[in-house]
Amino acid sequence: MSPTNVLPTVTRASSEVLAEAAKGTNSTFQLLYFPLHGRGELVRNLLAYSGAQWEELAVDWPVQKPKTPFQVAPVVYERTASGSVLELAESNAIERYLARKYNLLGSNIWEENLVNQYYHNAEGLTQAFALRVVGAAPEARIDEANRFYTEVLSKFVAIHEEHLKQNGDNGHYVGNTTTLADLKVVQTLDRILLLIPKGSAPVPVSKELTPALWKVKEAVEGNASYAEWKKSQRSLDLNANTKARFQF
Amino acid sequence: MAASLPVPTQADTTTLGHAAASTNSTFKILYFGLHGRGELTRTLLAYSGAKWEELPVDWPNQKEHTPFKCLPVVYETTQDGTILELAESQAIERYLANKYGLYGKNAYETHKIEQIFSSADGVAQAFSQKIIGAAQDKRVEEANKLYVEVLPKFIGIHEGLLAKNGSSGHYVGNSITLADIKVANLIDRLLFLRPNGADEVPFSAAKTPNLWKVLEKVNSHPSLAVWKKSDRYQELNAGTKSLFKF
Repeated sequence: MSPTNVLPTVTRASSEVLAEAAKGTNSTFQLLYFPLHGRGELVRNLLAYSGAQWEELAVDWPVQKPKTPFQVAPVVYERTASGSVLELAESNAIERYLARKYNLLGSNIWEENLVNQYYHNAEGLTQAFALRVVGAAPEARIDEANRFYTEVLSKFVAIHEEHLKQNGDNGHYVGNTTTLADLKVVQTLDRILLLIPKGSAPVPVSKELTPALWKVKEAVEGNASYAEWKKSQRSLDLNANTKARFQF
Repeated sequence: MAASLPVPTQADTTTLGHAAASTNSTFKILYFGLHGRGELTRTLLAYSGAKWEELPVDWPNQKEHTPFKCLPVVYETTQDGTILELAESQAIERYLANKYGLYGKNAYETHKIEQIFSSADGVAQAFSQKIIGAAQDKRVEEANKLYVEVLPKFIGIHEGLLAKNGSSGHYVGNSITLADIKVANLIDRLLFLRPNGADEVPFSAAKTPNLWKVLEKVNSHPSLAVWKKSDRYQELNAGTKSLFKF
């Protein structure tokens, strides 16, 4: 059955009612996002990781755009067990909401802060990559990528390898379970590893060069529903579409 | 002599989590003499009513001692004497918001706050990249473009959201949250860093009544009003304009 492009009707109710509805972990989800990774990648990864039932809505952006809260995608519609439909918007906010729901934000205010600091540090890397490498003219890409690898990425991995070692080199940034920090960093590195300009120097991220980070990647990929998502045809199509869209 | 930094307490995260629940803490912030990535953190510290002070910056000697080799870093001394080291501006902002009741009453309100924050942050980043980052002779042109291409859409959406919440000057519920403070901060920054010769920034009581109410409610909050009138705040204004050559 092909996906619908009709957006669900969002439940209007007080925040208390909606918050109560939002507590459950047996919601189903519909994601509205374009067929590339972009700002939807981590949301998709989180939905997959959570094991929740989720599907993609068909995109018909000119019709759907005015119906979204900020006229941007992704938007996620959560249908709770009690039948309420909640509208989640802005990728960072959606990610954090899903992480909170599925216990990926640490177990106290301090752990949540640690998760956030790694999340935002990785966001800085994502933005630098987008600006410097993806945003470069195709003919400048190799030079920009090489500079990015030595000036930015190498520094990032050195700092992060050290933090991970201080947490016991256990494949996790905080405590000994997967958090949003792990998922965010893995997604950031996956993107850098996907969008490699032909002819650039090797990306300085690998099992040998960055063993602690690689353990984080392996721990995330050890989650069954996440692994299944990553192997799916849709995920492979998104890889291809992302490369094509940005001319990699 | 190198300006030395507080030494964070080494303990497991359960212990640090208990310490972090303190609402009786004092704070020290390490950040440069401009608003920049320290502005919202300083605003939140001022809002909190907590005792806070600035550490002298000696960056070449301090850099290696910070968690991510960048600033701001905030050192919190909790009521039981634990020293917590907070890094990454957006993480610090959420931590302080959470601690001081600015992060919503439940997960749904928190999400609404995060939506607004993210939306405003998108504009802040566009401003930073396109205007602050522009060569000086391009600034007026880039600013005028932003005012015409980016701000009207933001304003339209946000005026609508605020109307849906009763045009009360609040984004979520009926009290100040991180969303209000973030948006007020954005408007302040855009108004303050208008390049000489650029068009009027399209925020005003007449043009953007609901957003203007948010700005006024935040800026008239007693501890924030005091902070904004302070000598240090004026210094940071001057430092910001000077560093970015406005």
